[in-house]
Amino acid sequence: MAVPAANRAERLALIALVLYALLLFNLFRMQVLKGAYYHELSEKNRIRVVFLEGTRGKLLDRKGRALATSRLSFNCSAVPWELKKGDVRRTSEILSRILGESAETLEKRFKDRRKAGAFNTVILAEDIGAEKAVRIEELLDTLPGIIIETRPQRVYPYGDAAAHLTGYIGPMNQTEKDELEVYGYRERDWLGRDGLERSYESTLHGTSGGLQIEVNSRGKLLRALGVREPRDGKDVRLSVDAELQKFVQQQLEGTKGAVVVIDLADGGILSVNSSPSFDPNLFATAKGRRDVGKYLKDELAPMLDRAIHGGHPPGSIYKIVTALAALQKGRMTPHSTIYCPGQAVIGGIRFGCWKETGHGSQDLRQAMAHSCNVYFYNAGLAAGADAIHALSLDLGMSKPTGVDLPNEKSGFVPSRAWKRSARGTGWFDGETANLSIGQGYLQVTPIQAALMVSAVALDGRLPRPHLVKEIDGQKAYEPSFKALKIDPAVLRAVKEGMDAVVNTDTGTGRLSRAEGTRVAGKTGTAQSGKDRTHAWFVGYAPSDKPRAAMVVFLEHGGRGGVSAAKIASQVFGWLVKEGYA
Amino acid sequence: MKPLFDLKGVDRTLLITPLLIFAIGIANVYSASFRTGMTFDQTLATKQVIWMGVALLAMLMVSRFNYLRLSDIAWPLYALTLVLLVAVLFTPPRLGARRWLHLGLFSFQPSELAKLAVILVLARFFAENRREYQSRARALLPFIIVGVPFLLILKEPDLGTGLLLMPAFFAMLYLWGFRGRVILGLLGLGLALSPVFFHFLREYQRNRILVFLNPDLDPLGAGYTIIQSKIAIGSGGLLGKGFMGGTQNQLHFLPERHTDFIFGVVGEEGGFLLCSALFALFWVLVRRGFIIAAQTPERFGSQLACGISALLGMQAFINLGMTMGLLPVVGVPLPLVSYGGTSLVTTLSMIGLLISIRRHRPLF
Repeated sequence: MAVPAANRAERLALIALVLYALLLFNLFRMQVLKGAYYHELSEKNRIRVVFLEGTRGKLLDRKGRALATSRLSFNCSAVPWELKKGDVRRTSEILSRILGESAETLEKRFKDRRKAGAFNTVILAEDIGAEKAVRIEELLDTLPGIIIETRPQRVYPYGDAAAHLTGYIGPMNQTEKDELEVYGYRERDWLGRDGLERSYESTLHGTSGGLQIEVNSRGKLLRALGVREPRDGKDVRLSVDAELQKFVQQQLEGTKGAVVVIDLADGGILSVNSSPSFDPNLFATAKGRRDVGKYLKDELAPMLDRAIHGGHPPGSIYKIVTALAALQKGRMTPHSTIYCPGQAVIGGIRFGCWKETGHGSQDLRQAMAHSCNVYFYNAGLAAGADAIHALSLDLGMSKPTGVDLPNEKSGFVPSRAWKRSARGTGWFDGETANLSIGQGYLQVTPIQAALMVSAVALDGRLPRPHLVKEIDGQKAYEPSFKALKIDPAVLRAVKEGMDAVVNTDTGTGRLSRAEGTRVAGKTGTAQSGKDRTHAWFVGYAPSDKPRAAMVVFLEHGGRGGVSAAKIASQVFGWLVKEGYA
Repeated sequence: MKPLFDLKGVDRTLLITPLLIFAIGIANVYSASFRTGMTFDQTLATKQVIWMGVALLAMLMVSRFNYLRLSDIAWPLYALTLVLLVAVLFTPPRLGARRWLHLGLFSFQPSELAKLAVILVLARFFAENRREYQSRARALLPFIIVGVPFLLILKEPDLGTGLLLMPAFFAMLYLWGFRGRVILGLLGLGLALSPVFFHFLREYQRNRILVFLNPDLDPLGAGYTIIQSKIAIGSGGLLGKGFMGGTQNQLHFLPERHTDFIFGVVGEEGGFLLCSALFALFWVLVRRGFIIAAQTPERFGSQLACGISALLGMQAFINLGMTMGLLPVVGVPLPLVSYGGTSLVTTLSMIGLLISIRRHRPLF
C-alpha cells in the first residue's frame, strides 16, 4: 500500500529541511571555515579588473590603404579604491612633473570622477605617449593606485577627406549599454556613430575581454583570478579609392557640396565626398570630444553628408529624364525640332527660356547641348507628368538608393496622385513644364543623380550602389543591375545629346572636358530661392564606352556649366591618370 | 462582514515568519541602496515599505477568500495564461527577452501569473482524479498541463520562472501518489536531456551556465557578480561586518545588490549568525505550508498548499544557491528580501492562500 498523502507532505517538508541544511553547511564553509580568506580579499587586497579592448576592424580602401585603423595608446589612470585620500596630492605632484600638466588639474580630474561603477578606473591623462608611459611605469612602486592602461586608439589617416564616409565613434549611453550587453558589449565599449562605422558596427566591433587579478596594497599582481581573451573586429574593404577621395575633397575646398564617383563595372562607389567636412579623429578621444561642439554650432553644417542627405531641385540635369520619357512615349523623335522664341505660354502662364533671345529651331541634340528650356517644356508635355514620374521612380528616385550609409534621404518626385491628396487640387500643365526642367516640387539627392546618369551610361541598367567589397577577406557583395524598359535607340539619342553638351563648342558643359578621354554629361543650374542657384553636373567617361560616372553638386554654387563642370574636369583628369576612365 | 484586520483564525506562524524575514530584508535593502547624505525616505527602503503595505493588504484579502472557489476558475485562468504567454512572444523584445506585456501605466509578466495558474489547475486535476484509477495515458495529462506553459516561458526566455515550476510540479506529483523512485528517474532523465536543451538556449543563458561551471570564464560579466558575491558572503564571517559596514556592499563592488544578489549584503553585514536565522525562518515558513498540506483532508486545498510551499521553498533555495555560487545565475529574487514590489505582492498573496486553506478547509 502506498504511503498516505499526509505522510507524503511531511516527507516533502523533510526534503526541504535537507536542502536548506545543505545550504547552511556550505554557508558555514564559506563564512566560518574560509571566512578569513574572503575577508582578506575584501579588505586588504583588491580585485582589480584590467580591460582588454578588442581592436576594432579596419576600414580599407580598394587598394588596401587604411581609411580607419587603430594604434596603441597609453592612458595614465587611477583605481579609485586603491588611491588613498591622503596620497592624492603627493601622487598628483609626482605625475604632474612627468605629464606636464598642473597637479591641480590632475587632482581635479580624480575628484570630479563620475560615480564609478564597480570596476571603473579614472583616466587622469589620456594618450600620453610611450615615453611618458615608460617613465611612469618605472615609478609605479611609489604610486599606489596609479596604473598605465593601454588601449587601441581609433585613427582616421585621411581625416576630413573621408569623414562622412568613415563616420566616427562615440561612447555608449546607459540605454545602449543595457540593450547591447546581451550582444557582448561592455561598459567601456564605443559604438560607430555615423557613416560606415555605424552601418558596419556589428562587423567592425571587437569583443572586449579582460583580466580579473588580485593585487596587493602596492598594486602588485598576486595572481590572476580570471582571463577573458579579447576578440578583434573584422576588417572591411571598400570599393573606394582613398587617394581619389582625398583629391576630390581638395577640389571641394571652400565650397558647400558633394561629389559621388561610381565605378560602372560593378556599381561600386569610387569616392563619396561632402564639403565642408570635419575631423573624425577629434571624436575618437575624450579630449577631442570637448571640441566637437564647434561642428554642431557651425552654420555650414559640416556634419551633414550632403551626398546622401541633401534633397535639392536638380535643375537641367533632369532634362535627361524628360528626354528619355518623351522619346520612349513616341510622341517625338530625336529629329523632331521645336522652335524656341525665348519663351513659351503654357496654361496661360509665361515660361521663359534661360536665353531670352531664344535658341531658334532645335532638335534633341542641340536642345540638350544648349539646355533649351522651351524644347523641354514641350518634351515634358508630350511625355506627360505620369510618364516622367514613373520613369523617375524606375531610375531610383523618391526612395533611398540603399547605399550602405546610415540615414539616407529619399528625395521626392511629385505626381498627380500626390498633388490631389496633399494639396487637394489637380495637376496643372504648368507644373509639368516646371518638372520637365527639374524645378518645382522635385527633390533629388546627389547620389540619386549619380545613379540616374550611371543607368544612362550603362544603356538602361541601373546599378545598385555599394561601398563594401569584402569583409574579413570574404567577398561581401555581388554586383547587381536593374534592367530598365527603355528602347536602345532612345538611349543612344540621349547619350549623343550628352556628348554634344560637352564636346560641341556651344555646349553648356564644355568646361568639363578632360585630357585623355571624351566626357559626356549634362549641366544644371537650379533655382533655389530668389537669387541663388545650385550648380549641378552629371556625366561619365569615356563617352563611347563609359567606365566611370559622377555627380558634382554645389549648394548655392552658381552655374553648373562653370563651377560644377570645372570640378568634374579635374576629377575626370585624375580618373584618366589613374586608369579609371 | 468581519473587518479586514480581524486576525482571528489567521495562522500565527504564517503571519509572523514573513514579517520577520521582511524585517531582515528591509534593513539590507536600506543598506544596499544607501548613499552618503541620503535620508531614509530617499533610499529604496521607503518604496519597499510602501509595497509591503500593499502586499500585506493583498495577503489579508486573499486569506479571507474561500480558496475552494478558486477551483472553479482554475481552467479559465489557465487558458487566459496560455493566451497571454503566446501574446507576449509577439511583443518587441526588451533586453533580449519578451517577458513583459505593457498595459498602459505598468507592465506585467504573464510568467508570474503562470506560476499560480499551473498550480491551481494541477491541484484541481489531482483532486478530481485519484492516482490509483488512472490509465497510463491519463496520467500523462499533468505533464502536458505543465509542459505547454513551461515551453512557452522558456521561449520568452525566462529560465528562472520556468525552472521554478518544476519542483512544485514534482512535489504535487509525489503527493498525488507517484513513487519517489519514479520522480527521481524523471529528474535523472531531465538532467540527461539537458545538453540537448542547452542547445536551444540563448547565448547569454548558455554563458551564464558556462560561467557557473567556471566563474573565471567571464570575469567581467556574470562571473564577476558570482565572484564578488562569494567574496561578500564569505568575508562576513561568523558575526558579519555589522549593519552598513560591508565593504563589498558600500563600495558598490556587488552588482544587483538590492535585487537578486541581496543575500550578498545579508551575508557580508550579518554574518553566519543572521544568515542561519534567515534560513531557519524560510524553513519554518515552508514547513508550515507542508504541514497545512498534510492536515487538510480536502484534496484540492492539500495539493494547493503543497504546490505553493514547494514553489516558495524552491525559489528561496535557488536564489541562495546562486548567490553562494552553488547554482547557475537564473535571475530569481529572494522572496520577501529582494527589492521589488511584484515579487512581494505575489509572495504574500500565496502565503495568504495558505492562510485561507488553513482557515476555510472543511474538517470532516
